[in-house]
Amino acid sequence: MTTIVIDPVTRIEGHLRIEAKIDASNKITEAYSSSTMARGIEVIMKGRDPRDAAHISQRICGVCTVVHGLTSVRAVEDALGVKVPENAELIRNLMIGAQYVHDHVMHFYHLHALDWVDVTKALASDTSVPKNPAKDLAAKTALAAATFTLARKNNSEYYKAKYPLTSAGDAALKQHFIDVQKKLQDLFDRGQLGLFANGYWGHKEYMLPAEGNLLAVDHYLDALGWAREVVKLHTIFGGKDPHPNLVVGGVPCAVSSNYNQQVSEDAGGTSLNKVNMAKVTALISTMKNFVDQVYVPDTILVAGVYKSQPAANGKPAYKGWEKRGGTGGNFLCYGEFPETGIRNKNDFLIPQGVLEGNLTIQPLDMKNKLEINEYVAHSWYDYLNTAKGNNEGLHPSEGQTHLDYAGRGGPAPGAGYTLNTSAGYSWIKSPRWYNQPMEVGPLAHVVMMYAKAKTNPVTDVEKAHKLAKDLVDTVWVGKLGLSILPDKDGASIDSTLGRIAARTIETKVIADAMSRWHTRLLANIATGMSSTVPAVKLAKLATFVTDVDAIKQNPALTQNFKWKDPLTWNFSGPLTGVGFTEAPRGALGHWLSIESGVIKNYQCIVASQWNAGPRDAAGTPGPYEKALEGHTLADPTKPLEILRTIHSFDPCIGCAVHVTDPNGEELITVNISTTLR
Amino acid sequence: MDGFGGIYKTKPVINVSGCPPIAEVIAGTLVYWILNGKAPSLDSNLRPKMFYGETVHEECYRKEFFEEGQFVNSFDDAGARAGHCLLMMGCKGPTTHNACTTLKWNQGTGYPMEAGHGCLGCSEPDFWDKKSINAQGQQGVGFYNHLDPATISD
Repeated sequence: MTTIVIDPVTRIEGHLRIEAKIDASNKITEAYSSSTMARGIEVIMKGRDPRDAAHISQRICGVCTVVHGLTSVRAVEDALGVKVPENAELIRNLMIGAQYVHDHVMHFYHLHALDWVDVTKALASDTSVPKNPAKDLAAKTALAAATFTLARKNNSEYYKAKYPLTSAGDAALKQHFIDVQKKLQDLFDRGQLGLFANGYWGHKEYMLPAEGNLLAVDHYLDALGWAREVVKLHTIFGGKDPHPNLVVGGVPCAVSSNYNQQVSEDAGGTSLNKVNMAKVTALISTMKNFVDQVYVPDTILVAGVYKSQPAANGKPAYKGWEKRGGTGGNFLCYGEFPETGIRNKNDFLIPQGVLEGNLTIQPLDMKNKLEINEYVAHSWYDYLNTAKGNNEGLHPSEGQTHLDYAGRGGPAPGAGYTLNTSAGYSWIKSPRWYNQPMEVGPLAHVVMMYAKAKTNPVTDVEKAHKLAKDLVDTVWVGKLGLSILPDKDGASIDSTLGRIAARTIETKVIADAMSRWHTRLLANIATGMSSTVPAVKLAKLATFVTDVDAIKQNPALTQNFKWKDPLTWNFSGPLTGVGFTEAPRGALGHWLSIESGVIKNYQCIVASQWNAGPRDAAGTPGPYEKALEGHTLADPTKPLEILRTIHSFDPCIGCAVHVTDPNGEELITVNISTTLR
Repeated sequence: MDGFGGIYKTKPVINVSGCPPIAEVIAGTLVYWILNGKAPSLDSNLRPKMFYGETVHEECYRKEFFEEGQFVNSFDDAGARAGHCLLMMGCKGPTTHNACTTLKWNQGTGYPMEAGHGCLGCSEPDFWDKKSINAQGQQGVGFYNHLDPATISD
């Protein structure tokens, strides 16, 4: 038995460590996931003004910006029973929607693509020494021609805009693909791989044709500029990105009284004006075009190559990634994108609920103490004053954050150590739903929408669910010929490849919905502008009035609290609230209690906690741990297969890779691209 | 002051502060170093004066309303729509040195006050715990407790 250690600990920004035990055939028998960074926000939050919580908690992550801020304001709004105005909900949907589209595209190209795309094969060159310039150009020209053909076939609309379908446009596009190769060649020749450093280049698991690699690299570079553009939606509504501003009660950006003009010293006004709304319309088009014309076809290209292939032309059969990396079909969603208010849970684009290995949606109650529990049996925390000590499962409303690295079995940092897997081995706790691990994220979202879809949709949300189902049926089932529930060979959407495809599918569903939300917002503003509707309707982007329905449910609430004075928030006792979003990486919840106007307790369960958590008190592995079981490594010194499956979850924790031999000797150390998160 | 709020003392440090700092400020500081072979002129918090020399209040488009005493008092009032000064909503612009109102964010797209929210003060030392005045007129901590207008010079 060999232990493979995938570990960034004490290395550059690394916060995730994987230890995998492999047998004689290089097959993973057990895997352990360890976060080596303590978050600590829960501790910082105590005693603070609840209105400030969104700003502080949003800083949990600069990549998943917005999501923690929104979860936090929703938690306070839940505690106070505040009803958020319709236009504010629409703006929040647009901001989270932009976050999804930005984040998923960035994940596919900048964080995950290089597990599937061999950059060193994205250029052709003359290998003789010294290099023959004429032969080199001929090689590059030939690859450019093949890439040109693929680009015109797969991404026709995308390239047409800049390279029209004329002989001049064709020539310019071919030249473009020669230029991209020269750019890469220049990086390689100078030994400055920069963006493309640290890949398992040349690994035999890289199977894209050369023109596929070059096309993907071209899109990788384009996506960088695209990403810089699309975040401007956050700046318009929230003032900056990352970390745009939100407020308890709604959004801060009132509709400008000077709507037809940009802001100015003389005219005042706000950024919610006609000029900026035209920009938002254009930004949504920019998002949709890239998703439809580049991201979707590239996903199909990659999936087509990495799904199972029968033996042919002397090559053995290939076990594809629709048969690897599943977690067992337990999926959980809190839900997101309210169409008619956060309390109307039947009208979410991403439905709330739980699936247990089938397509029957079970209801979920985040406040039910029996349902969601967090374990620290294998985490570096102590639970104090609980019946079962550190084997207890606590509901997050009663959650505790007492850090205890040394006392819970944390090894002394240094080269060559291994995790004490019989004791604590992670800074992440183990969240469970009725004691079962749950996968969260895009795959959960898409399967949930699939399960919810009606044959004859009527409402906007029902139509979106149908769109998601149709995309699964046309892309996953139709184009790729794959099954949703496990077939006799173990292929299903519950797999590494399914996770990637689901992320792409939901990006399209959300990008399309953004147009609709923005159209609704503009229609509401136009209605408010007309003389028959009082101007007050426009101002109501933030409201601090407690909802009548909320008071019915919780008589301790009152309409008389003052937003500017948290000391009036005590009512007849402590207030408790739960906020949720369905973040790009999955279910995200904040639970808080407020007493005497300040935060008494604050607990977050973030998406990567559900997926990356360690074993629970019963010894049941978390989703990362489960997903890796059964992987066979083609080359244990280059564990590309582990990266593929772990990256398919889009971990929101830094990670890097070390591999050691059975004696703890470190074979290699590799930092991987999620170190950015 | 030493780098990183006094933690790091062994090498010279330029503080490019903010949560996060503006992209052009990071790039501009590096480019200045590359072109000139030395650090730009720094303030007492070791921040480049060319980006942190003025408060965001000084160049804010809402400053005129401050001078005229026209304030937003609630995120949903008429002043909020008209773009009045956000001081009473906790804006820390008058004590925050940064380039948000000159360079703006995300390639000149905007900044927090344009979108109707006050400045959090994120480029100042200890900004999370900065002292301000709460609704009871007491010294408090927090993003929505306001500065004392009397202490702000035009």
